[in-house]
Parts: sequence; structure tokens; C-alpha cells
Amino acid sequence: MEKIYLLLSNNPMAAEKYREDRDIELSYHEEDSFRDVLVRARDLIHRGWHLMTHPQASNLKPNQCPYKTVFLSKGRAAESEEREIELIEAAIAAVDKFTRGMQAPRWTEKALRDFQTVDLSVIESALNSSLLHQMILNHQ
Amino acid sequence: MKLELGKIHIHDVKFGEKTEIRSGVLYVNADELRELVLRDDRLIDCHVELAHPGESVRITPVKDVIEPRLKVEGPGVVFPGVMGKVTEVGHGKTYCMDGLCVVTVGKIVGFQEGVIDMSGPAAEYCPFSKTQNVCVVIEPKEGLETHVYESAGRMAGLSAATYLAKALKDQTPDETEVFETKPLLEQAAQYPDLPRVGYIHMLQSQGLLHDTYYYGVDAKQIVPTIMYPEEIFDGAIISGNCVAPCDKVTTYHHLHNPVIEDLFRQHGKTVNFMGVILTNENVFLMDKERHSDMTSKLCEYLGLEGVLLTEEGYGNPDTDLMMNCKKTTQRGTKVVIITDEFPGRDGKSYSLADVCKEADTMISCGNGNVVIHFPAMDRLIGTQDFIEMQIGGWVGCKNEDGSFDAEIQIIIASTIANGFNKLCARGY
Repeated sequence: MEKIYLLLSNNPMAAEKYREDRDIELSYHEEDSFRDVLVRARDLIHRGWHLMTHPQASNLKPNQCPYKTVFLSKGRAAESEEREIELIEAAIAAVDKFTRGMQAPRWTEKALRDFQTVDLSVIESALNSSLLHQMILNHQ
Repeated sequence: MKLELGKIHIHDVKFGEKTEIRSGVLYVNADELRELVLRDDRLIDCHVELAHPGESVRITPVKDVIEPRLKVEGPGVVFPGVMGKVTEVGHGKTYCMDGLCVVTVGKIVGFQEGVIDMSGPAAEYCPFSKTQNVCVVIEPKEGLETHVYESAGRMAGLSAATYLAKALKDQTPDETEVFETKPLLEQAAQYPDLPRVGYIHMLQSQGLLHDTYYYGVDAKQIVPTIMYPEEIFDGAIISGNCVAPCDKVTTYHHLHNPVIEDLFRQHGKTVNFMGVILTNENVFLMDKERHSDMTSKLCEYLGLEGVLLTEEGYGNPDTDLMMNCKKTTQRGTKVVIITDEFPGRDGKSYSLADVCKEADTMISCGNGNVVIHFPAMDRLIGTQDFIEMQIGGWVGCKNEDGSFDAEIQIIIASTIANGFNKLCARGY
């Protein structure tokens, strides 16, 4: 059966966990920046995918975290297409706002792992939502 | 529900042989406290340090801030479901150490957590620069998973506060406040001529380090519900959130929720304060729709004419904020938003990550992107190793003498989005 859920990510920890998932297709881009992932998500929305998670999920602002994971679906939409575009464009604009003139910190390996953990935890808080869990189970 | 909150004013804290309060001074037996915290085998070290207002002291990275409180009459314990049975709280009598805080310090993850300066320019922005602080500095076991360590850190602070609170037992309050909320129909009838006003309290609930607990339950798992405001004063809500120091709602802020405190001050005078609607800030967009529907439905069902609405965090929560505002307004309840702003360094961008036309009244709690200088301090509690990575810092922001420049985002509670700060616009 064609998978109707897509995990779009530059987070290796998320990729590791969802590489072989029965219901979720993985789209992993190791070289992508935080912003690149959002742009990819926007392009997918224009091609008919629906935004399932908030693109600015996590309280970490874009200049504070190198990883981003977005969950998309070809099935039921949570929002209108217009609203989805609004949310993803606002997320891209927020990256530009917070990174303007800023140099990304030199993260330590430990900090990078922590970022991966937090990003994964945030996306899993959506995947563990009872409503989403049932939708995935029922291929809706 | 009726709660008497007895405040014992604490104007100094010192180490002593016995943990007790004498003449407004808290004496702390550091060995006993340390031993208690280290009963948790997830921690390998703990030391206790004291910080007083006006001292040249910097505390960082700060995980949580907690006011010691003790239940002296009525059912349950403070922090129900976490430090004792899950019994409904908010009835009877509770004592608190007014002016004293437990501050949990230690790195949770390399890049997070905030700063409290006890003097200097940054102290002007932080409510905990003016309190007597018992700092519990913890060190986790090597290799512990982040989730596990977060939990150990959270429990260390709550255990320390519960331990210190025992010293309140035979004290006589310097001041007593009484809070009372009647069941819905009686409350509506008590002040029939005043507008019925409620409070929508959005709890951070997006995942690891973004969590809040209600009677011990992760707020992600709740559906919007109604709470008597008195419950919060007994610790029904605790913080598990470690992100963005400036607008992090610490456990102290839950115990002292300024929206609830201020609504009680106006209760029976300008408003009829009906109660609190608790909701969360989830990541799945359909949960946001579902929960904002439920929140607005509760406002309508309770017959509220107006609500105050607060959030915790930036970005994702701004969408919940707007959905709650939009739907509640459309169902006939007037909404006033209270939040902080992030318009970028130049102040030229949108302050919030989302917006709706119904959001026409907002109280600002300040701009987190403002940059200030943090002079070097004589004493450091914790570590400054991560300043460049902490939220509000940047590469090259730190100088060799220990001073640094950073956005005020790095200061605990500087722009907290419920108004418990100096930057919030207030009416007098």
C-alpha cells in the first residue's frame, strides 16, 4: 500500500527511527539546513501534500536549533490549503527574522545530539497524539 | 472552593545546623538537603548555594524556580500527584515562604536555560534577582538520557522545596490572603451586575523540555478542562519546561500566576471571576483545532463575557493563541491576549508568529530581542561555559573577563507572557 504519511527531516535521529516504518515514508536530507527543510515542506504543500504538524513546533527559535522535522500527509487535511501556505511561509519568514546578521553557534557534539533528541521528541508528541495515531492506523 | 494563603515573610537565608525559620530568616541545613536530593541515583552530585539580592552573583543555567509551600489545613499536599497522593487541592489553608525561592541549577542540555543576576543591569529584568535564593546545583550521571535527567532535575527542585516547606509548620503568617470561588451558578449569582470573566491558561506541551504537568499528568494528555483558580496556588500545575528562559513559566509562576492573582484583586469590584480554563499547546494541527474548539465551547457554556488569554512560548503556541482568540471571540466572549514579543533585533518584523483579525486587544510583556550588557560577577553559581549557545547569546558574545552581551531572552522570566515581570504594560 502506498504510504500517505511523510516525515520530512534533516535530523539523523528521526531518520534512524523512521527509516523502516510501516506507515510513514521518510524523506531525509542530511545536508539540508533548518530553512531548507521548511522550503521543501512548502514545495510539497504546493504539490498537494498537507501539513500535519506546526512548522514552528518546539519553543526553540530557528537560530537556536539546526534540526527541523515536519510531518505531512496525502490524506485528510487539518487546515485549508491557504492556511497551510500561510503557516509554512510564516515559519520561513521567522527563520529569516531570527537569523538575519547572526552567525550560527559552534555546537558541540553533545549539543547537537540534544537538539536531535528535542526535535524528535517534539515530532513524536504529534505522532503519539491519539487522534493522529488512529488516523495512521486507519490509513485515513 | 476557599483557600487561605498565609505568607511568612522571609528577608534573609543562611546556612544553619537545623532547617528552620527564626525571625524571618530561613536557616538551611545544607547537608540534609544535599543528602535528600542525592537519594535520586540519577544524580551523582549536588551542592547547595545561597544567593541574596544585591550580591555580585550570577546563577546559570537555571532549570526551575519554586516557592516552598506547605499545606497546613485541608486535603492533599502541595504538588499533588507528584509529591504525594493525587488529591484535589485548593481547600483549607496553605503557608508559603514569601520572598524565598528554590532555584534548580545545572545543565539539562548544552544549549538551554537561563541566567539570574542578583545585581547589575540584568537584575532589573528578573523577578528572582529580588528574592532570597536557595540554589540546588545538580550533576547528572554520565550517559543519562535527556528525558531521564530532565525528570531528575524537576524532582530535585520539588523535593528541595518540599523539604524546606516543612519549616513553615508552626509559623504565624505575617499576611493572609483569602481566595474563594463558588460553584458556577452560585458564582454567577454572587455579583450579577459585574461582567463574568474567566482565564484561558495555555500550558506548554510540545514534547521533551516543553512539558507541563497538571496533577502529575503531562498536559499533552489532557483535553481542555475547567479548574478552580485556588487549585493552582497549591501546586496543581508544575513546570517541566526548559526552553526560552525569558518566557518560561516556572513552577513559581504557576504558584503566583499574576493573571489569577490580579483577577482575584478585581473580583467583586470590577469583574466576577468565574474560573480557569486549562488547555494545551500541541504540535499536531488537528489537536489544535480540536482543543481550540473545546476551549471556546467551554467559554460559551460557562457564559463568560470576557476572558484573559495567555500562552507559554513562541511560534507553535502563537497559533493556539490565535485559534483560541478567534473561536472564542466568534462565540461571543471578548478576548484580551497577554503575551511577549519577538520582532527581531531591529524590531521591524512581526512580533508574533501567527495572527488573526479577532486579536484586536493585546497586553505586551516586552520584547525578548533587546540586547543588554551583562557585567562580570564576583561569584558564579553553575557554569558560564554555554553562554554563547544559550538562548539569547551568540558566537562571540562572551568576553574573557566573564562579561557578555545577550538578548534579554537569556534572563529567566524577563518577558514572561503572563505579565510576572517589569516589562509588562500595567494599568494603575
